[in-house]
Amino acid sequence: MLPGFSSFGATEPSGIEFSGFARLVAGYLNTDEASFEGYENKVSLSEKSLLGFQVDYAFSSQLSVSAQLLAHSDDSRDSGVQWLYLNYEPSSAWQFKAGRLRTPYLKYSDVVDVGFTYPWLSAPQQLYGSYLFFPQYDGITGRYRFNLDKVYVETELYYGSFEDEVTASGSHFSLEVNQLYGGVVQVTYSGLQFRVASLASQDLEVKIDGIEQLIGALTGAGYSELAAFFQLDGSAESYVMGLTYDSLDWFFVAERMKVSTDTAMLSGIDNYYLTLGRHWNEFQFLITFSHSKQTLNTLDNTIPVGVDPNLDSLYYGLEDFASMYPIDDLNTVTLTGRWDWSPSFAFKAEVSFLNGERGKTSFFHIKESAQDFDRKAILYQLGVEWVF
Amino acid sequence: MIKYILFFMVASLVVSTGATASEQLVVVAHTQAPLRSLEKHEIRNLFMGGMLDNLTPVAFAPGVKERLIFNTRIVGLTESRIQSYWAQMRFSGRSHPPVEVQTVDEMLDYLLQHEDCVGYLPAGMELPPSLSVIYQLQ
Repeated sequence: MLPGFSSFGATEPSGIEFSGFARLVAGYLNTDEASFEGYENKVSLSEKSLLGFQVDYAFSSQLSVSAQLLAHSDDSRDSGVQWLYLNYEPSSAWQFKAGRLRTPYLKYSDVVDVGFTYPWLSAPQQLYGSYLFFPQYDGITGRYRFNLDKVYVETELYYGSFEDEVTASGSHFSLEVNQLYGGVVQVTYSGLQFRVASLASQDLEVKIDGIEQLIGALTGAGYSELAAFFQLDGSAESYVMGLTYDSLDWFFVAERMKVSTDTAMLSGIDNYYLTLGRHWNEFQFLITFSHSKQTLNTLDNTIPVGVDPNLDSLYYGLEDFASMYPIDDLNTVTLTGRWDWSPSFAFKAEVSFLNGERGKTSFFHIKESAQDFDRKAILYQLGVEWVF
Repeated sequence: MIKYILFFMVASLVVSTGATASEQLVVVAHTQAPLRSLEKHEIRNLFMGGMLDNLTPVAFAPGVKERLIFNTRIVGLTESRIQSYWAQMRFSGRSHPPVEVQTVDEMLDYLLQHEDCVGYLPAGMELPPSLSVIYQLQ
């Protein structure tokens, strides 16, 4: 059989199939005191624009292999193989995958690069921000579907490991997650869908350049409690609850995520968003309120200042590291319009009113010269989404 | 401005047009053994990637009148929302959209050539004996 690009959704399953997605997004932030998701006060096309290709090859009706390649315009995002997995479906109820997979944690987390799949231009940063979940993992997943009369249930369990560099509010971290595991239960009744998901690891390690030297210096100076604060090995547990309602006229989407961990960087996260939208033929208009609140394990810097120059430098070194930890308290109201120009092509426009808390990073990367920035800004975005 | 947009969205409830399509369809199956009649939710689930007795759905392509009626009255979603849904299913490796045909004749041909397939046709058509009606959309 000849391989070919699918006219999206219009082909009979064949041996090999090519498909893909692309998005071109322009954004502008109305402040010169900070950047948000990479956007500054000049129009940029390079933060969210991307091109992805997917190849599916079916060995039989039960066994196939899929790969997804991504070329991303954002330097802080990896381009290359995002998915590479073997898919085995022994029956229509069961599905198993093994390889490099996307984490099926949030409603759209495994398709976050395919903007055509969701109504916003930028999925709410409070949940879909890059460091709050592990976007992909190497491992296995099993899915089972069944129904109880009109109630359709989908369950999924996954297990694996994840290793990556992540960026949070301008700081770079190396994350290593061993024994990552979680599950998803999704219950659908007509247009109503309830979803719960979990993601956990008992073996999580966060590395920041220079942290080992700081821990060594603190331990050497007798501040073992402070040293322990910066030991970023530990465990993390996270839960998501979501509710979706879809009809011909209206739709509603909400997700709430709670993260608890003994690693200071990710501690005490409780974030949510609510989206209410309206369909008018091929147009959608939606309003979203997103909220994030993070309670960090507080650090009490007990090193005395002015006693010993070595202790002074240790004091300020510790403060520097503590300030690198993102604390993201942010409320956002977002207005989005979407026009599905064709079954595979959509235009979107979005305005986000960002209202962060003073003294916290609030997902902003604040410039050195603008430390009194009020954490308020407006983000404008225009974009085109394409699937093929 | 946000207040005005919210007001506009809520006010639109009053002038909501809803589903206007009134044409009738029959959902038909080509199976060796006679198939029981199906419920609306079973047909919706089958055409949205769900499982049902190893049946394979066949749909019309976007823009075909029968598809609009089917989407409006069985699936209960707009074409835009259905396309987003299938993009999500495809690129997350969960399932693929149904095979699509362009015309009623193509639908008939496809169903006759493939056993265990389920499709939909305008009501009142004369059906070949190998196709059985499993749901009537009044």
